[in-house]
Amino acid sequence: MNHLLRDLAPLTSDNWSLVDSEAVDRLSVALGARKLVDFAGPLGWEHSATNLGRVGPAVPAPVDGIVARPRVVLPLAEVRAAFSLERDELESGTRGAADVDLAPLDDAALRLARLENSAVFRGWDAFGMTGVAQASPHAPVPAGADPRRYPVRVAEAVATLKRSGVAGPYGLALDDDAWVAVTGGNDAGGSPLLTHLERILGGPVEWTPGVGSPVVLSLRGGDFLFESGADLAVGYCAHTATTVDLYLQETFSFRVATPEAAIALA
Amino acid sequence: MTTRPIIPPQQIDAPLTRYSIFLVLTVADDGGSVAAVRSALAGTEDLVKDVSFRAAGAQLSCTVGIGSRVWTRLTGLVQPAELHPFREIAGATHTAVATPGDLLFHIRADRHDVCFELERLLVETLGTATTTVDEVSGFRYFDRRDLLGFVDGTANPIGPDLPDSTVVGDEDPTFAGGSYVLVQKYTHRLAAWQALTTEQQEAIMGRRKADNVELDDVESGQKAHKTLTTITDDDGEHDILRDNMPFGSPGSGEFGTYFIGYSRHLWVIEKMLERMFVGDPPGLHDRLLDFSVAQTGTCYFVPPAAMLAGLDDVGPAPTSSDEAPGPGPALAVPPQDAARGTLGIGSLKIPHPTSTTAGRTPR
Repeated sequence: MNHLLRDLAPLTSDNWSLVDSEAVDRLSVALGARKLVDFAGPLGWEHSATNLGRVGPAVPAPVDGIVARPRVVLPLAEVRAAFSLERDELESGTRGAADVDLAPLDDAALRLARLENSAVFRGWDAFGMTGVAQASPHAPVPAGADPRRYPVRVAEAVATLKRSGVAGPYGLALDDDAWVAVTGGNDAGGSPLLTHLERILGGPVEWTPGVGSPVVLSLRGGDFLFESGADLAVGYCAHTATTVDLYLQETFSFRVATPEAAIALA
Repeated sequence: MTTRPIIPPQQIDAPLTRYSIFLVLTVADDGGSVAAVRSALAGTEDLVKDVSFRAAGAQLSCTVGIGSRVWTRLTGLVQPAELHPFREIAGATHTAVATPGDLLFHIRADRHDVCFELERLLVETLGTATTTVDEVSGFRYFDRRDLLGFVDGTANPIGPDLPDSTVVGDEDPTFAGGSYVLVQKYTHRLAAWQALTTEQQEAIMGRRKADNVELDDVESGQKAHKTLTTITDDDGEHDILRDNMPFGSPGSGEFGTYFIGYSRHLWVIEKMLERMFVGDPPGLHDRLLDFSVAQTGTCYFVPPAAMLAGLDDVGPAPTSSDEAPGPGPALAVPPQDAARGTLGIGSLKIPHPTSTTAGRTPR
């Protein structure tokens, strides 16, 4: 048994399959950032920090004639989204019920995806992570209120990246509202806005809850580095006679290698 | 002596045959599809037996490759050391494009109907869990020539060099016995090629057209295709196993070669492509590319037969009781395997085709 303590939970193997596949379904849709940045790992639960290849300023040493410098590392964030399921519901699953209520799991999956997307694009000070949008040296392209103007704004953003020598294909990360406007709207010329945008980008438009302002970034690789320690997994915490407390957990770090390879729309 | 009609599964050096089919698929992202694919892959060996037993002597074989994007979700294992999505190689003039592809089925037989039947059964078994992104039926053209008129595949390793060049060994113990495979679909500008004189064609290929004898390497300047695809370093010459096939449809003006290379080291094939597309020295690309356009590019790891057959025994998120060694799992999973016990989501980034659309014939 590993640190997830799954064997101690009052769940049958069918229950676990149900919970795991539901988690995979929800997460694969909402993890927009993973569809846009490079992914390394998983490197394991014991992996605690990302090597940055750099050293800090010299520190005093107890013996003369020694130069001592600390290695700089980026710690992995260990993040956990807890949720409780009704044991009655899970038992119904063992009888073959097709509509087992897993809503608390769905909420937790979305929370965790939102957190991951936010860390990647907006950074996370407490862990020393700088986000894609935060790192960008380009002045944000004003997006305006009218989503029908998006193609022009996105083309402007792509042009800025090309001027900086950043090759495509490019991707676009959109939060809830902007994504609805883009997928539901047209460009006033008859073509769906989504198709128009994908043609400009040469890459995908991804629903990325938690991203905040829209971000255009290069997908050529090597620019944005997501490092996974323990990849997403469901673990067990505690149970009572009526409920079981589980959690979704992962460890990760994120760093930007090429700040100019992305630009935000404000 | 009785003929043993069945070639062992995942045998990459299966006999060169008269026909082959190259089937490239992507896997849907939901958990149900991944489970369905896992079970279908584990059952490939049985499907091959079902078909080949009905067609003794047809030399049917099938090799399955699994791409980087779905590797961890499908197998529950870490990625083999060199596995990664196909990396686009952009030279000054020509580009080796990267296109989508999670699974490769390389089906070979001496009869087209036998290849067809196995592909039909595979696609039926996989159902909606996968989407076909490319499907090419190749055939042997006279004395193993490509449609450009030259003999293809001469430089393949033989004897003890064959496993040394194509099968992963102690450098990656978990995956020893497997291979890397890279495929590209090329279409030919046949009319332009035929406008060249035979001497010009021979200079580009580095071989004589009629009798296949190698020409001498040039010391400087424009190098021949043969020279650019020879990789030599301090360890000597690094070979790969090719089983290219011509394909085409004269009625619609399509003429092509499907390139497939198996290797112990993925970097060897990538180095060949780099020398062809970027050139050596950079700028002097392989002139063959002026007449052959890469339409697709994907790469995979070919797991050893036992690992493939054992896929069904290992879920992506096993409960810990599976950790005790028991009957069933054929996979040798090291305890430190980082992907075990997770949901196996990993990277969700897919390579996007850039300059050309997969499967379209160039103007």
